Amino acid sequence: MTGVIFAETLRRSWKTALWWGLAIGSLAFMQVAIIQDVTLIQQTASIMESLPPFVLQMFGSSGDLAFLATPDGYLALRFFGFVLLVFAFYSVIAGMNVTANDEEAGILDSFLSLPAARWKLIIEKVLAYVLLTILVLLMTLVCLLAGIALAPAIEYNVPNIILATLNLLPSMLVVLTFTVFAAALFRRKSAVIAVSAAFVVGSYFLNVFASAASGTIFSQLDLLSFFHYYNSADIMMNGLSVVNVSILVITSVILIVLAIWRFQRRDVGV
Amino acid sequence: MSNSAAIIDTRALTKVYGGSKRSKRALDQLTLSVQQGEIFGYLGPNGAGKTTTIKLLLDLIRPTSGSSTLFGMDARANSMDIRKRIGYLPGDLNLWAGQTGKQIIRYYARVRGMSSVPYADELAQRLEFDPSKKIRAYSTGNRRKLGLILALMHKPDLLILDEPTSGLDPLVQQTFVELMREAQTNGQTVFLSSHVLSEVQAICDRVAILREGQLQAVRDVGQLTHTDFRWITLRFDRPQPISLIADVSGVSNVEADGDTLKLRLTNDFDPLLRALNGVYVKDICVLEPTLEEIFLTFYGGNGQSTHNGTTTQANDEVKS
Repeated sequence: MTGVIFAETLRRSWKTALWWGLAIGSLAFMQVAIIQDVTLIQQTASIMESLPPFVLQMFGSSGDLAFLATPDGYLALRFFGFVLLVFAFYSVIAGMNVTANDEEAGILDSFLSLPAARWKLIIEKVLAYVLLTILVLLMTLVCLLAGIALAPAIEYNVPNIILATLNLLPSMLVVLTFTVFAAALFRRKSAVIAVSAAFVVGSYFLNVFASAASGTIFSQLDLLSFFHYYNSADIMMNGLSVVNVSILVITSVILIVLAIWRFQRRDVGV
Repeated sequence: MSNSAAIIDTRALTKVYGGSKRSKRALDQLTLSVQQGEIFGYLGPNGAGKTTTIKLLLDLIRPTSGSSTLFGMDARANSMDIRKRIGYLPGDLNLWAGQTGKQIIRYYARVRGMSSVPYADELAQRLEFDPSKKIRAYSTGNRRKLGLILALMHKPDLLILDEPTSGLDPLVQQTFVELMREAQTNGQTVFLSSHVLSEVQAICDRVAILREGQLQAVRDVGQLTHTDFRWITLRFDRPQPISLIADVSGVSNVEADGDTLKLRLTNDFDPLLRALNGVYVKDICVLEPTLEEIFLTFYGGNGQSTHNGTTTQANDEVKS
């Protein structure tokens, strides 16, 4: 029956998503609430000035120091620069919940004896976790805006902050669908976790090292990293990149199609 | 045996796990038919291939070769239509630990497109199952009860039960037998796997015996019972000589131990009881043979029955 798995997944997981949103939101809240004047932001930027460009890249900075000295630049560096790594772990956990956890626990044996198609199981669960991811991001955004409201002396570009928060979604989708794909390939939960974690961490460092190697052939390697298309600093300066978002969404769709294709064909619960 | 009215029909169904170097042939050329309204026992020791067969029928795993049909439909191509008509109890039922029994019953019912499940409430009452607790709080027996409710609640045309009474106490086992009889009366078909001979004897009409992935025989239960044996311990008021019963028809392996005689009895009790006429018997203890002992008796190492002095091909019914 259409929508049953979707609704059940939401029912079971909304509280966890809320806690994730609150936890990361609290982090965002503290980042903006403790800075009550621009001087502190400029001091932070001057410290950054002494760092090599690839270190700045590790924090998600574009290397534009004038931008870093602005409130938006501060937020891009101190929050949006690293928070995707944290959110990526939520996406791995969510991806594990689609099939990997139930398969290793031996639950899929019983569940797939019901008239529920394998592709439907994946689609409905993934859609539920997309909605839950949006819930996490909205919670985070609410906390972020609450923190901004407590610092009236500092002017933030709120529309761009909203866009930067929403811009986390396509990257999180890539991680979520990659984990689902890994679970379709490997039956063992430990293998799925290892491959997915390697994907996230590997993408992060690929992006950093490619930035450090600018001007060389390796500088193009970051095109393989989803962090490259995330580019938080650029969004805070110039708004959303439709091209980047499209690339991430299309990648997610391809991954989910591959996951379904594989999961439809393999033995379950062996 | 080919039968167009068969509920389950497998043709040379084979499953090999693993790659070419470390492959394991879990099921080998299984050809089997189960008729509508039958309670069919699928008997074999652990690792014989019973669960593999069930998973193939449910399309959870895919055959290496061969095919199977349920309700006349291909198990792979028509899996969804087939699963609508099936109730399945896995041998090792695992469910979401943080959910209550009631939540899981409702969830499974909704997936089946049912808005309410009155029969599930009735089953819970009959099995004395409390659905309000979380799964992690249930004992093994209670989990089996929940598994039975999930398998039976929609009154499916075919019940596939893997070791259904494992972990159930004797009273609930009796209720289970009643439920199976009722299912049969309602025209439902039951395919149950077990490694407990007495369970199969109590419920089933026909039995298939599986060993190391190969079908050894398909028999009526009465036939199987007739061909098995029992271990008997006789306790007398004083020690008795082995010669008292050594030559009795069906008696073998006689051992004396103080005032008791232990023996193996094949076929009827009557010749033994007649031989004991005039001797004071304080106690008789009858032990069922284990499944492995039945196998050893029923089939020699070459896979041929040597019971009762006859020699028949072990899987004669399958091959005919």
